[in-house]
Amino acid sequence: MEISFQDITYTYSIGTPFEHRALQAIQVQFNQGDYVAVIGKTGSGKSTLVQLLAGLLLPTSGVLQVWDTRIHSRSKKLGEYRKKVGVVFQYPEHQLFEETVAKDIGFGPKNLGCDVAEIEHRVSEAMSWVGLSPDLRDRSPFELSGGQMRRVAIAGVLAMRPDILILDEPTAGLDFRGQRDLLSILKRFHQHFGCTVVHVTHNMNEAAELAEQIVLMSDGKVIATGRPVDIFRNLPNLQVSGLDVPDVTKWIMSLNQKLSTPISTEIYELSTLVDELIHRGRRGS
Amino acid sequence: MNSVMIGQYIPIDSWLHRLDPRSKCIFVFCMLILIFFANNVETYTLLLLVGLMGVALSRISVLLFLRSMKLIIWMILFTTLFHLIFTQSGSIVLQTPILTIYEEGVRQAAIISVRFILLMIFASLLMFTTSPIDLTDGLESLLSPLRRWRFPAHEFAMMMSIALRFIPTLWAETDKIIKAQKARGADFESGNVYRRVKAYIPVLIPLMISSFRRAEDLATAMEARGYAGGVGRTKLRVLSIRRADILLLVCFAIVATALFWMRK
Ligand SMILES: Nc1ncnc2c1ncn2[C@@H]1O[C@H](COP(=O)(O)OP(=O)(O)OP(=O)(O)O)[C@@H](O)[C@H]1O
Ligand SMILES: [Mg+2]
Repeated sequence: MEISFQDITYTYSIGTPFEHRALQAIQVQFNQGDYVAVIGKTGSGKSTLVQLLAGLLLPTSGVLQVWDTRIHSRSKKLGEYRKKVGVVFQYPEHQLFEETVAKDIGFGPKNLGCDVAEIEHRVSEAMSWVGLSPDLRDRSPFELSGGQMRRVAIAGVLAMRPDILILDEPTAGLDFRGQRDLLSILKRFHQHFGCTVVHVTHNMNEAAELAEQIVLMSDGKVIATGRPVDIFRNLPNLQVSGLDVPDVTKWIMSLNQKLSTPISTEIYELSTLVDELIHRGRRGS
Repeated sequence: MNSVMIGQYIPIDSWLHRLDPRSKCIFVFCMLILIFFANNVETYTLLLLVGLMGVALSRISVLLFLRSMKLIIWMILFTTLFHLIFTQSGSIVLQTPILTIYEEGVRQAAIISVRFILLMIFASLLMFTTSPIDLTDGLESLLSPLRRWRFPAHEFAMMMSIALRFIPTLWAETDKIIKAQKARGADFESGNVYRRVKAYIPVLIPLMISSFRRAEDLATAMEARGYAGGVGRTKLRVLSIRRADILLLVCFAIVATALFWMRK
């Protein structure tokens, strides 16, 4: 357990009439190299949780232990720590600022202290990861389409090769095709670099398909955590937090009502489900 | 951002909150003028007492007022220092090899500091207890006589209300962009002044772009809903002067009379 939240509380605008407790007694651990999905309905504290992990907010009380760094209410000099963590915020295209795509993607590596050749290399690599064609390098990021801008912004974070990659609703506002593309990029990136990924999402399908661990939040608390199967089996928990099971599971459950030997509800990927159905078809059951 | 901003409306309920914005504006405006007529210890004490009474009546924590003082503390320190060093009349208070401080310098420094503090107390009272909508409605109504001389009172008030409305939004946006760039390793905290200012470019550019985008969206949305300036526009909430407002203006009259009687 290399990343652990130990009894963490976070309160916004403390000591003013706008005081708001966003997180309460958070106890949760992530394994290094896991793909973690954080789910919960709007206002449940997901973004606050990941900003703590990114070292952008300091806990009001409690300790966040990440490898050998301890983050608490009076932590200072988190600059070095932040270099190991990459964050893709919601609508990351709103933070582009450079004259050219390549310069914008290179901003992170430059801040890390990479030399020119290394920056060059990382920019090309990141662009190919997100599927941006190399001729866009010298274009202004503001001349691109919304989807392309999103890719530039994400490439800017991937180019830092973070040990922990945090994504706050990265697919928001993309069309279905764009969402699928992005998810597959994330999956491949995760497998290739073996970094820990923390992915915040409203979308159960995304969480079920990609995650090895799911953290279910409601009202500033973590109400369940575990493998997708454990989370989606526990319907009351989901309903309390105003969420639903993934579409695939819904479909399998309705199909199972007509089958003598039910299909496992532990299947979350469409391709696995198709394999399973073909397999059954061959067996003739 | 983890603090209340200067001049942010604090939505609680108090006698001051319920007053008509017009009478509050007039009261504060006249108070600000009155400050410049005070010229001895008694008159300044009187004004400070009135200010403190206002703070008590607003039922807003004193801490918030102190926090808004933080903003002008540099101005106060600077002018104090300026007077201590450069005003050279009256008897000598303190003599050191590098610096001589005169009585008049200390007096001027004290006066300026108290004036700044009073200005800030009254301005904060108005901003803390009046919602932006009330404030602009009040201003529009107060400025409307000027329409006779072609002053665009409605447009002016609308511009102000939009600006006020977007301060928190811009603030939140700034916060978000700073976080995003920090996460990309931007360093806002070290280096000399030049480097620090340069470090803010990655924040300012996205902020400007998003402001323009917002302005355009807002203009489109207003036009789509048929906004066509102030002509023929009616209001859902009509401002009305009540007994409390008259009481406030009577209070002002008493304070003003007392002040002119007490001043030298
Ligand atoms: N800057 C802030 N100041 C005060 N309160 C805030 C601030 N940011 C968030 N909150 C509050 O904290 C709570 C948790 O917010 P958070 O953004 O973490 O939710 P979330 O789960 O990410 O929601 P969403 O799915 O809508 O993004 C909310 O009730 C929100 O109103
Ligand atoms: Mg969020």
